[in-house]
Amino acid sequence: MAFRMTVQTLLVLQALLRDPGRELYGLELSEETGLLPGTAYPILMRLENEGWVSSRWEDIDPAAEKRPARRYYRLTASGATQASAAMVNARRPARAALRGLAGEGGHA
Amino acid sequence: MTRTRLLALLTFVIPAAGAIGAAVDGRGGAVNGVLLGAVVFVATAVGFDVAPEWGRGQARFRQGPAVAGVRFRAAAPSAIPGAGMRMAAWLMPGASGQEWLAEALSIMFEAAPEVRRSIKRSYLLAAGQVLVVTWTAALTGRLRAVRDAKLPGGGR
Repeated sequence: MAFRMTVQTLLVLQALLRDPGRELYGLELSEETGLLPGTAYPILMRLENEGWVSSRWEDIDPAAEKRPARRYYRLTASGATQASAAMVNARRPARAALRGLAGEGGHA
Repeated sequence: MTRTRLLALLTFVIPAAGAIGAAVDGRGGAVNGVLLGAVVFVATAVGFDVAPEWGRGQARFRQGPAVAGVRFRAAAPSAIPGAGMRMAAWLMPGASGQEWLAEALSIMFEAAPEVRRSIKRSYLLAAGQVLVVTWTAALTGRLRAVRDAKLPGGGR
């Protein structure tokens, strides 16, 4: 893994992992993560460069649909596995910290 | 002087000051100059795109940009990427700038009018990161191709 696993990256991965087979476009991702689309874009680019995510442009006639084509993102098979592992790893320190806090609370 | 003009002026003045600092201080000054230039570029781009007053040069953007071969004349001005976004896209390698711009347009087109400005600002604020990611990908890809070509059998 060549990129930093930030909270924003985890939010994007979590949204994509809810249904790994489902494709999401920018606005849907934004609604699910609470991140603005511009913020999510470089994260998706990094994930795509690493092969975790694949993207495709919607195949529509923009003039007929009266809107531009959307760009859809989905997790790749290997990306889904790695993303699940990253989510588990991200939760581990939080659990350890909570256990530590509970321990300190017990001593007080 | 409008805010947009002031920011445009600062774009040239501050990096120039950084370059002078680089000449005087050496390496540290160069880094400061580049950082200042980057900060002012983003600030200017935000100023261009979210400035409430539309300059004369913005009039042609009201017609709508031709993205992916389609000119969206019906789009509201707030849904159209402005000069700052076009400038950032122009700085990106290959087709990645056009892709970034096309996705921004696609999202702003469908977004509610009241959130378009914040979406536009988010794209501009993240433009620096996108520039780094796209150029890194382009350069590493190019370097890999050069290295593979030098290997016996063309890297196969």
